[in-house]
Amino acid sequence: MAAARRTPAPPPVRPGRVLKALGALALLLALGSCAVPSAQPSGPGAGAIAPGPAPAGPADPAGPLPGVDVPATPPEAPGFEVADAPRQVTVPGPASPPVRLTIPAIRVATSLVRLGRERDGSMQVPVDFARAGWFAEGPTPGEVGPAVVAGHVDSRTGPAVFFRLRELRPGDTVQVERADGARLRFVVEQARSFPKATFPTAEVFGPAPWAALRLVTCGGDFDRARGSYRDNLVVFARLASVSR
Amino acid sequence: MRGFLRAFLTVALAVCVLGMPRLAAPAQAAPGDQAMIRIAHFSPDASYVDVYMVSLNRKQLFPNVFYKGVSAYWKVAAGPFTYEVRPAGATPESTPAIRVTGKLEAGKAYTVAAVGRKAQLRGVLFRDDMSPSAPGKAKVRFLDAAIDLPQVDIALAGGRTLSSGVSFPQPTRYAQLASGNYKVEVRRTGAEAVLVKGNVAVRQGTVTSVALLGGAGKPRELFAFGDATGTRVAPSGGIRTGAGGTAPSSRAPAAPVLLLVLAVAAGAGLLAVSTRRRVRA
Repeated sequence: MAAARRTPAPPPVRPGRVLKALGALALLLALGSCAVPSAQPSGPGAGAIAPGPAPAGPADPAGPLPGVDVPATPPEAPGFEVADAPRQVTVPGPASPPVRLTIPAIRVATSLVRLGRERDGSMQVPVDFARAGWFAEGPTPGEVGPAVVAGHVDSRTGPAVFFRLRELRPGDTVQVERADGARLRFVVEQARSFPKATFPTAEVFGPAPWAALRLVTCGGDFDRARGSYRDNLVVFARLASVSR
Repeated sequence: MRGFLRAFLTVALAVCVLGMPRLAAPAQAAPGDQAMIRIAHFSPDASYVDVYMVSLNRKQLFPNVFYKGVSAYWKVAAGPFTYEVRPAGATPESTPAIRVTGKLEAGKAYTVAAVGRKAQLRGVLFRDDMSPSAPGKAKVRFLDAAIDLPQVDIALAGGRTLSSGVSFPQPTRYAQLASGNYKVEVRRTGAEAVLVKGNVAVRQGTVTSVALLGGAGKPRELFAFGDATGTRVAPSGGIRTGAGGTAPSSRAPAAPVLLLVLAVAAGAGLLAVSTRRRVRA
């Protein structure tokens, strides 16, 4: 370490130095444990548009949103910063339900069940705590619009499928496999918590101008009287590329 | 040596303090300061021959923009913005053919369109309403970008008038329609003869814009492009995705946090003791 290099000759060992070394070691350990949760690879800043480095899926030529013709490498004009041109990535062809969800950063790999609405109008949740589910009354992943996937944060006894969802950071990858075999790579843009009492339905389920994915679980304090968490954690992701 | 350790201590504590929020509240703060914007090219005679380069706040967005081109949305910082259009190949310092300045509100969506004849090119900025449609409905609005039409009314064939007294280059309000394929007719305001007609198909939950285009040699037409798609019927309220098995109750705090606290305390304590000893010596 730098300290060793600055010290000209090894001085006699004194008790104070030993104590200091121990103190430094303890702090180092503390520092290490601090850094662990931040060790996830984080991509562009929150909300940054995330076109993949090599978008595999070209904009759907027959899609409802005609794209502006953007060359792969725009010529650089002097004096201009060339921005990431917005790119509409969708899955060409008919829609297909999602069957599998994988989030490498938090070691999630789950099949997906279909979810609808309960009699009270609220969204159904998976019966199986180890599996996530897709809201089948909304867009499929890969179509323009908000595809919503919900999973439990915990069961009565321990962590459930989305226990580590809170660790996701902008830039993290979320993969969805559809029944038609298409593999979709979404990139996390942001994660936000909302009190369930004022759940922003329009923001989560309302119109989105691109192929979006929203992962939902619970968070915040657990209200033992109601047997329910007070908040929902929503991770907002955007389709970056598609492969077969 | 002591200086180094003290510096190390400070850095370590600073990193811990900075790191702690990630442990405690890892959810990202809302980037509530962003707006969405897209561009559209609806100038009928400024096409193919003149290819435009578009920039926003001195960032080049598109080197080539053709007639009837509508871009995807781009997330930009909310606040003042400048949109400029130049012929391709023009230097960034040259006077732009269009310059539109305005202010973008956070969380809102906008379209900035180049309209009019090439010789009188103008840029118009309008707000796109991304709020959900009524349950089971779709939202549709029209933009009059046809350069040589009088004031018009827009109506469903044989039925309801969606907008009346529409003039260049104004967008209408969004109308709510049930899913379906609609024959749309455009008439001179107050007259019977149909000037332009076309088909517009919408699905529930979608938000669609339809531009009335043409003039200067280009056919008059209705050109539909999607703004966004929502959920057909959204569920209500929060989502019950937890049973509380990992919720902190009267149990001890989670092991990593406890270890962290102990390590910091021990480290600081040892340093304090060693410093005191040095002073005594």
